[in-house]
Amino acid sequence: MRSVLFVGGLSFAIAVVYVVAAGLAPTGQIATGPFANLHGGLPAGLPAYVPQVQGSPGGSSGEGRFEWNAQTPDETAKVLHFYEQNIDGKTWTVTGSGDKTISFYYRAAPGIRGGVVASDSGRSTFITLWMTDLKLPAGYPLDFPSTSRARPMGAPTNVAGVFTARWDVGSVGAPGTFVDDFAQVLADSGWDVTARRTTRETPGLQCRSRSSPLVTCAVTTKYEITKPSTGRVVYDAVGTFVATVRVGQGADR
Amino acid sequence: MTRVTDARHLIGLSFVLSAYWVPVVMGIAWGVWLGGDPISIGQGIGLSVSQGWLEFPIRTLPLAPLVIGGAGVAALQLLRRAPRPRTEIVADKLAVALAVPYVAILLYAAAFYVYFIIACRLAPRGCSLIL
Repeated sequence: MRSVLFVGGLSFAIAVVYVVAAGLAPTGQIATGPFANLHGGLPAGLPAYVPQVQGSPGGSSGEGRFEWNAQTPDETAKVLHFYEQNIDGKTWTVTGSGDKTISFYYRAAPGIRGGVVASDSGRSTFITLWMTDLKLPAGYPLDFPSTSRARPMGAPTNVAGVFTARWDVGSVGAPGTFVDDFAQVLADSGWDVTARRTTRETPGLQCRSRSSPLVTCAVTTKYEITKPSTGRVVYDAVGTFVATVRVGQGADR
Repeated sequence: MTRVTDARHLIGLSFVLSAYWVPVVMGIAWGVWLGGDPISIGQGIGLSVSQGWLEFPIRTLPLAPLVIGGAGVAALQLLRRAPRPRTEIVADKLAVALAVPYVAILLYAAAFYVYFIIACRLAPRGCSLIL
């Protein structure tokens, strides 16, 4: 019996030391709030839409984020109306709702922004329900939305009331897609898009709050290589499209 | 007091077993990160253990010398056929038995990688594995 305990304990200890030293365990903060204990379900206060088309993709979560996808034969407007009526207002505050999207934030931690996107794909509607911990500081406009593709890169800065955040918007697909999607979310959430730059490499936009016209935004995008390739057989360069998002009074200047 | 040399067979078996614990420990770590309740931990272990077989040797490659070393010494002891306590013989046999599938998986991954490198070198335009 002592031998079994010895072997079990020593081998387990070696594995623990190795996993920690090799960085094979998650290194971020322990998931709390809407990201924890999901067990394949959705975060509290966010219902799944039914009926769904058979074989809908389901949910996934990562560090500080969650995304759930489904497909339904129902129309876009019906899907969005369902979520307007059924998102639990005790847990989430809906900040905007429009033709294609709904935006909300987590009441217990307003830096966690989320939304519902309903895309008409002809005979069905594709639903994306997402949320991301954007690590936003206090004072960041509560009604300024985000999109499912945005991942925070570092902490946003606040200079004279203008917040500047950097978002990783993915390494696949053109940044123009992000700008198009974000323009739709802004329009649905009470922001007028006042300018669009559609150049292929660095698209961007400017916007103005309908409720507080002095508050504006400016979004620019560009591709950044975060780790150059080592030049071996394996091409291991890492790059991503980065959106720089400024919001506040005079942010579009 | 037990000397290290007296526990050689147990230490060798522990080295071999440690590689198999890695997916379990990773699963526990992910389960704790996802909230720490028993269901999250169980799901974390299940997902980690069910990862592809190609990932297992890559994840545990730095432990391969421990596994091979522990099993190698155990195999040498078994070949000597000198009279020894039954516990030592069982531990050495277990170490060798557990090391064989691990080394087989390691060789399978190595063969896949070598095949990929050769195929890339022979390809007219070359190729690369994008991670």
